[in-house]
Amino acid sequence: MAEPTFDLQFASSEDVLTGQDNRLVDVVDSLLDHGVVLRGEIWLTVADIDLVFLGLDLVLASPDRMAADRGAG
Amino acid sequence: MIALGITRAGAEAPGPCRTADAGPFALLLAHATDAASPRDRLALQIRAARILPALLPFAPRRAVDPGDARNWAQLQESAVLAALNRLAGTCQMTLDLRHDLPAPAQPGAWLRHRAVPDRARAALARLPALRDVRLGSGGRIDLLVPSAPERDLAGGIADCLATALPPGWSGRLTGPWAPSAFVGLGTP
Repeated sequence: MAEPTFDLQFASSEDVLTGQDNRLVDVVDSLLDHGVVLRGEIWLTVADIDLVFLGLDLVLASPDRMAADRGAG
Repeated sequence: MIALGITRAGAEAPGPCRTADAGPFALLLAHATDAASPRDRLALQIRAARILPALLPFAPRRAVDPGDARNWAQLQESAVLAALNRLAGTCQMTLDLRHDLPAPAQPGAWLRHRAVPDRARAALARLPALRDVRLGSGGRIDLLVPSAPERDLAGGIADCLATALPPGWSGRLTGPWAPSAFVGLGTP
């Protein structure tokens, strides 16, 4: 019986940054949000008029992301 | 100037970046023209992370003011120094898993399918070549590895996943990146 194999491809960070492959674009998009985040900011606007500015010390994230961070705890 | 991250005091950054000491650590800085877009900032962080002994990168999506960065870092000096020590000599690789076969239409198949990335994370966490393994969103797994990784790191990962995962899964390993998923400081 044949040994199980796993097809693993490799792309360098340069390949990813210069590539047009949609899957690689997703990798970059994810990396742009990772790292130290000092604080978030949001403007609430209606009809192009700025109404409220909020300085946020919290972040909106998917349940998967939050679960992963809790697990890494 | 824009702050791209925090490194050890006295470290020298590759051009066009430079460092500015701020107490027991240093800020990694770049001119706004060199770091205008989030992608520019990410590229500069990658280049700097290869040279610097340790780097805590700021999330590239936002241009960080050096004054804000200095104030923030000095307010939590001991945590920043601990993170610099923990991440010294490491970089990040990112593994994207994908499923190449249609998911079986059996009861519970969707849940089993969804559990595969965590199964992969648990298997990879046992590899001695990896310092840390974290599950991201969408089947993405972040790997903390030494800056000079073992010669056949990819081969070890492939062998591990070949036995840990069901058939039909494959992956793409990318990097090296600055260890942004492992900083564990600031707003998550």
